[in-house]
Amino acid sequence: MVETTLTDATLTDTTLTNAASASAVESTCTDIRRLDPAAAAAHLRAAAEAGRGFLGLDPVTQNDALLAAELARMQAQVFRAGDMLLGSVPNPDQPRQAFIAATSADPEPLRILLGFLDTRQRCNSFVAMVPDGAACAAAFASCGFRQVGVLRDHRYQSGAYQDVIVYHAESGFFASADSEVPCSA
Amino acid sequence: MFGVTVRHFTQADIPVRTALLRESRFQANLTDFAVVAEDDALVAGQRRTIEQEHAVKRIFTLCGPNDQVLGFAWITSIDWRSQTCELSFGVLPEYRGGFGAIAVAAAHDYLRTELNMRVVINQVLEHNTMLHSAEALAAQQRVRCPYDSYTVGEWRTSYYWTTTEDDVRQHHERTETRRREIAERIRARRTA
Amino acid sequence: MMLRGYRSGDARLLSGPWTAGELLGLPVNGRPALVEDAAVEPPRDAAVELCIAPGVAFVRFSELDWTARRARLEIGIQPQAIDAVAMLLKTAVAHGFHVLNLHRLYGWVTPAADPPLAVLGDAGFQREASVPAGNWLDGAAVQRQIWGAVRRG
Repeated sequence: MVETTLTDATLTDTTLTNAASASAVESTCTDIRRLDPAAAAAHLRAAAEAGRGFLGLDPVTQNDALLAAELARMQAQVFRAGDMLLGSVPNPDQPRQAFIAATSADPEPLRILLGFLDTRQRCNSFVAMVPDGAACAAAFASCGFRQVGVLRDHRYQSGAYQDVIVYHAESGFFASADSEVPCSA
Repeated sequence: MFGVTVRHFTQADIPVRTALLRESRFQANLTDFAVVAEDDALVAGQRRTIEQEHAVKRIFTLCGPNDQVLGFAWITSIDWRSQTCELSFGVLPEYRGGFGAIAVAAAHDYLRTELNMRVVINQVLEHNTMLHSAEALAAQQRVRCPYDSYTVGEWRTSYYWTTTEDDVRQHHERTETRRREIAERIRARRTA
Repeated sequence: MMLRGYRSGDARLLSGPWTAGELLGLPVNGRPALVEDAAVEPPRDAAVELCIAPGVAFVRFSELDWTARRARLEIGIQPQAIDAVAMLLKTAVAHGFHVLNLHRLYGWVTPAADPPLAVLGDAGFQREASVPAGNWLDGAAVQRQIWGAVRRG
């Protein structure tokens, strides 16, 4: 299992504390680390309920080997910020759009990820498919995502089919008021 | 469910299951292939199941209230289109008395509510009263196959039956009815 | 109209002048000559069920999730058979629900490609989501919709 820190030197808590945004200073996030598929699978399992539906995966019905294989097949990027997992999968039909996933309601790590994808991977359009009632919906709402649809009976869990809510955001809508992700020189 | 949880079988569980596959009553009750298989082959086969065979075979580890391993359940003959599979069990010798029925129920519950299986095929050898009493086996069985398998020097007769959602619902209703009757009786005795 | 499983002899049905990945892959008029035909691959594993209507179209069930009992539906119709689109879609839905025993079918539809939306409604699909910039078409990011059909009974 391999963990590597994002090489972008701007993604440190020094940057966060320099930002004028009060919520960034209070955030518990200090560090976002990239996970390889095997490590990502292990962390998804540890996330328990919060990991169900992450990038369309389900640790309850898929073992670690299957989760890792699926993440690799999707060319997913998975990151860890403390206990929170973040994921991004490129849209194969539109290179500047990515599908995003998160395992908690904390918006700050999500905001940092979106800024990173925008600045470093030319992503300006983001889609999240969130199981109905999942806690992470609050993180997307805080980052300016708006609901654009409902996929009926898209998942099966705990004996019943469940809907998946589709959210969308564009670059420029998720940056907090005074913070920017500066480019390293 | 009553303290038994179902989780995926991992590499760390392989030694425990390998030992179980070779234990004497297990051999007689299910299959004795493990006795004539080499260590490496047994381990490699289980590892292959974990890493690759998700479409055809899945093994689960059954854990007690303190996360201790009680035994294993595995599904084979998976027909994804029909939502059916065959379920087998191996419970560790020290837990066979207590947790047996609960472990069986927990496995069925997982298959139905998380894997979305609708019909689970149960196969038990006639002499095996480890998890089901002889009377229960005789009552439940729908198909009886003499000479089904040969384990530990004898031909074995096998019982097959299916568990569907309707069966589960009826079982719950019967349990609830029984519980209510007992409660009524206690209440009547108290007021008398 | 009958669907049967794909065989290597059907390979020419897998490509055509379509917008790629659409629920309804219909020939697009006025495409520049340099644009290659869209194509789907022969299936490599059990995650995709590929059927064909002989001589007419492919019907592909991908992103198969047997636990959630859902699949993404894609159809590609050869230019000489576009009149058969309504019948083909209904046949595809029946195959998904009654042969594959799925609970849900969904697909992506790009409005800018001018698909016949009435045909989707007749086959039991509803528009469920409109994703801005979901597809790249003719030099721009365009909206893409998800249409879904859920089996009742």
